[in-house]
Amino acid sequence: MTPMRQLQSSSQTGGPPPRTVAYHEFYRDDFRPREHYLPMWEHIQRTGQSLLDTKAREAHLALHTEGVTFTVYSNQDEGIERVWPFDILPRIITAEEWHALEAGLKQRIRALNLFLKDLYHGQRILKDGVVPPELIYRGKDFRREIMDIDPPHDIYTHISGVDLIRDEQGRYLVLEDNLRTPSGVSYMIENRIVERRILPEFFHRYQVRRVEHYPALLLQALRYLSPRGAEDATIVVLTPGIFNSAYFEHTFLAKEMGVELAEGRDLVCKNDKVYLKTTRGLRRVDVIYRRVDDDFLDPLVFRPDSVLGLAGVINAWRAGNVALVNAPGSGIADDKAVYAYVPEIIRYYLGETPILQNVPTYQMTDPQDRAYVLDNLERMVVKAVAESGGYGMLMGPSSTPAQRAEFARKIGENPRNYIAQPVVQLSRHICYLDGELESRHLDLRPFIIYGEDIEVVPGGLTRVALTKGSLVVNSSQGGGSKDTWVLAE
Amino acid sequence: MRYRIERASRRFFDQPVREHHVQVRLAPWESDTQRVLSCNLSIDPPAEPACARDCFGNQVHRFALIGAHDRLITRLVAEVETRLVNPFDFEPIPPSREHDWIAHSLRQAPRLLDFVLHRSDFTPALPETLGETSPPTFDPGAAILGQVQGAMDWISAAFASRSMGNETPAPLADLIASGRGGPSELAHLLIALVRGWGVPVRYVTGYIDPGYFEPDEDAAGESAAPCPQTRHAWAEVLVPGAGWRGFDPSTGLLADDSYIGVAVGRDAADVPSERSIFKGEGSAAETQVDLSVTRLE
Repeated sequence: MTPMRQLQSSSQTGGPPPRTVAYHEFYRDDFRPREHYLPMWEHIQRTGQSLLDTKAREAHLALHTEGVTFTVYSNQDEGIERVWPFDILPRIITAEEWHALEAGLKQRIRALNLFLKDLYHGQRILKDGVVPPELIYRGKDFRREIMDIDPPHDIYTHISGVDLIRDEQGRYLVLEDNLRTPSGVSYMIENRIVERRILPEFFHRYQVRRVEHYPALLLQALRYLSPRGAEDATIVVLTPGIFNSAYFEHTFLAKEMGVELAEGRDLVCKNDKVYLKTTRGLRRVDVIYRRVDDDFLDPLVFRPDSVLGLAGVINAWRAGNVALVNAPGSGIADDKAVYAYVPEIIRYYLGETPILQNVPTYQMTDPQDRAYVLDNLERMVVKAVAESGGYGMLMGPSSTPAQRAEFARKIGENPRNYIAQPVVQLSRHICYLDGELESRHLDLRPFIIYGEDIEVVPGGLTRVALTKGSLVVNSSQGGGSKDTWVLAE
Repeated sequence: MRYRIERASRRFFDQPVREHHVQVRLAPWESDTQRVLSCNLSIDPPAEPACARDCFGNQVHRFALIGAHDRLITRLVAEVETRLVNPFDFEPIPPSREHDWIAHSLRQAPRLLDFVLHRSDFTPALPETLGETSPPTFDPGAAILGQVQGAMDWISAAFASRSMGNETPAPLADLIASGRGGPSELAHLLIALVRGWGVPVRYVTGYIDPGYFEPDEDAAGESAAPCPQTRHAWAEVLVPGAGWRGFDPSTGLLADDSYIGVAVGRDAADVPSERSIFKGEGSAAETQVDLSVTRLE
């Protein structure tokens, strides 16, 4: 019996699960602030409402004038740009908590990279039956086109963003791994810049670890990959262009790292080498931090109608003349159906017990899991395995019968395309909203850079579900954000 | 058997194009039963082709023409020796153990799953009946080889064969609707059927003996001129005990030493003879292809 099945049968025999109260990060059970929030709490009390209100408006204005925006794709096929929603009260993580998180994230990323190398080479884990081969070969993001290619230093996911939530007991759980082109890091930094500017006095009370050096860390990791050596490396950020929802971030990172921002048409492949077209002729490119999806990366290998990518780049990568960040094909390791196997993947490659736990997950390819989920859709979160950003998702408790029927039909048609998880009450935190302190649910996306070593940037993007009671934190679905402070001691 | 293959493809653009990246799958493969004696690929305007293997193990030649040009001419000249005289010459496995043999092969080489699971417009899951006819159902007690032959006979009886013609095959639905198809479409039908049985089966492109293009002796009176030679397509099934064996529903034969393999894939989309991308306003009329396979004594 799988662990999932045990959980399922116990909840089946025990009747409806008892109502649980979401963990509160700020308040203890007796409504007193947790110890590490006391200095901040005293400060808020002294600052008073009217000043806090002024600060909140200043923060919004700063983000507006800095042009910190994001794009929501609407049904009209038009992008709508919005100012990044930001709550001025920071989320604080103690050093002790962070150490455990950091170790867990490093372990996970190390294992997932070994997994990717294995999948695209000898496939030992499939032969040993630890991960079902059908799951991989039916996966939309398994890129057989890159079989047997050796990426520099065997690294596939140079930049990862792992979404963490805290359950009712306050335990950190991994909700999903984002290993393709996780976005949000620019907002993590902008949040910190604004917070320092608007609330410098907050920082005097705490020793907060820096996150602003992320671009420098990233640049160092990218240089490490250069086939011509770090000193001579030419690096470009490859963007799909201004219509992409994360275009702000692409320009931000290129500017902060001091590297070129390029579109596919600015580059050319010649003799399995990549060149940047400049006013002074062609300049060899060593590392491409691409923010273009696999499908569009090389029309010679993937979608032939793509005009966003660069024909020949996969051959240049195969020849070892350029590094691609993240490696094409990484998406199979963050496929939501593969996610359920990550604890096993960690045990298999590292021989270690996973430090961070997963959210229990039902596989829709398993008939028993499927039947259980279909009977309990109103208590489930159903996700399409290859979607992100909160798209293609059913939130059981807030869904209509028609939406549930629609998902039941979709699951029946293509079970491999869906997974389900019981609704976890995300932890809450106080937010300053319209002159009141209100509690809202939130998650955390720390960023992990894999260069010469694996580094977890101390902090991350805390996303807040701004609608009262909502558990959806995606900025594309009306979520906001907070600065995340990791304490030095 | 020894063959000489000469193939030329010509493409002319009405306006110059540039940054033209090309990948071709044209060269015969090297295997236990097929030896390449010589192989030369030349390109005009001049370019030096490089070679790599794709995920199915096929040789893929690639080259790029960066500057402006108004034509692309690719010439292949190769000599091959084929040795599979009798495709039935192997130690068969009892039918009761065949599925274990396949399951074992899949465990040893998960890559084979592509040839069992893949479904597309070329190789969709088949309904129980196709118009007025029903595809043969799988009998777990009978040998797979015989059942694939039976399926091939069913295809020959139910569908009319035409020449390969245009290289872009039609979706299987077109074959089912029209009742006629070229070697690619017929191979796809066999693949769709055998995949439904859980047996690994793959699409093959290659060249065949010039004799197949000569007019039928019965019809010799009407037209004595042979059809123009074209690239050919058939299916390969993983036959327990034997390994990959070619089945050609367009001729109703098992592939022997009169078949010259070039590339394999899940379906035709994996193995186009040419895939290219260029920049510029120019467009080209259809590519002209001349193929000549001759038997060497």
